Amino acid sequence: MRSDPRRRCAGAIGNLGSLGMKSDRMKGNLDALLLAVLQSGAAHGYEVIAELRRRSNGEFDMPEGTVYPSLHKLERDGLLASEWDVVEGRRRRTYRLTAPGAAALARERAEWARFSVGMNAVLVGL
Amino acid sequence: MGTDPIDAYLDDLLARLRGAAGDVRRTLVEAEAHLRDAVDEQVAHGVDVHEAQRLAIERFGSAAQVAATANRALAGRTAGQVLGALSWAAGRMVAVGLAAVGLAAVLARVVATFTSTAFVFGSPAGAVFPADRCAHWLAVQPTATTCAQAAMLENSSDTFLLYLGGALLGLVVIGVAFATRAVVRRARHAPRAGVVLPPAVVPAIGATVFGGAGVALLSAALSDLVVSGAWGRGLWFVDAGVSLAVAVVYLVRFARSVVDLPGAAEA
Repeated sequence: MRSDPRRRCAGAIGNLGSLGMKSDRMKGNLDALLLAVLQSGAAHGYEVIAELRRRSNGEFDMPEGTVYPSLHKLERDGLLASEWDVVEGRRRRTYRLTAPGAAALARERAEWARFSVGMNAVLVGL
Repeated sequence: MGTDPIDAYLDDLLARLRGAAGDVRRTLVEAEAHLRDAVDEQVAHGVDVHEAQRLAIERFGSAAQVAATANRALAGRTAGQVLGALSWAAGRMVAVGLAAVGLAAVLARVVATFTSTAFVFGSPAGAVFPADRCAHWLAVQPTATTCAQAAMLENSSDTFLLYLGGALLGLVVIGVAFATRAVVRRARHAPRAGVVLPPAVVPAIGATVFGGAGVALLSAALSDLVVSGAWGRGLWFVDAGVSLAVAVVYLVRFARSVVDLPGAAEA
């Protein structure tokens, strides 16, 4: 969760014109997106991914199975915590945001706000 | 009997995932819950169950893609675990080697009683020893009547003590190291070692190392190139036999681990 949005954008700009641009951008920001979704409350993987898709109007659509390693890494970094639950007879891992995770999300939001202002100024002229 | 596509997908994923057993198991449980949730949701919207399964798997990503992402995420941690597991396995293999040396010391004595002490521990043919060494050997081996006989008995005694003493000392050192490690791991609530390496790895290495050593020792025992100038051809045979026996044990474990691999029973 120390990714620099400028570096992420530089990588994305380097791929301008390629079909993978959206996917690269998505991957670069996936950690922040997952933290943001879990700020609304604890959820298991399927709910997190469905919510991510719903909030982005289907824009953030990637192979769902590749999201779990990111959840696991965020947990190893202490930004998420998780525990096993049995929901509707099915065993699931439920994730929740930790205090360090909330702090990391706040930093990501602030960085993104500054970065997006700069991007809009250049790309859109706002 | 048809195979559930989700089960088949999970089998494929299991075969591709690398890492600690706990990580792999967790990934599989989460993947199955996710896929079955996705199928239930599609079916609730009126989609045919087979089509729902296909869609769920398609949206989840190919097993290769998901496993590659998961393996990459664990790569840093796994490297340390693999190193630790290899060190642990190497330590155990050294312990097995030391135990084999101790066993060879005892077996050599047994073989000597059934063949001859000269065959197992005798000095090289035609060897001439300095007078002071002969005097020493005759002094410490009072039952010997000739220098060659005293040398043979001294070699038998030294070999037994050095083999067995060295083996026991090494095993104690390794035992203390392993016990300390176990106490530390328990205090840290760390997972058991050995969960990272595929089950066939250590037996394959063991069979190769001990098999290679056994063949080399046997070749030396059968050839005059090495043994002609060495002491006790029989001891070489005993060492070779023990080494090959250990190799066979590793080979059996290797065969079992290969047969027990996921999917092998259905192949």
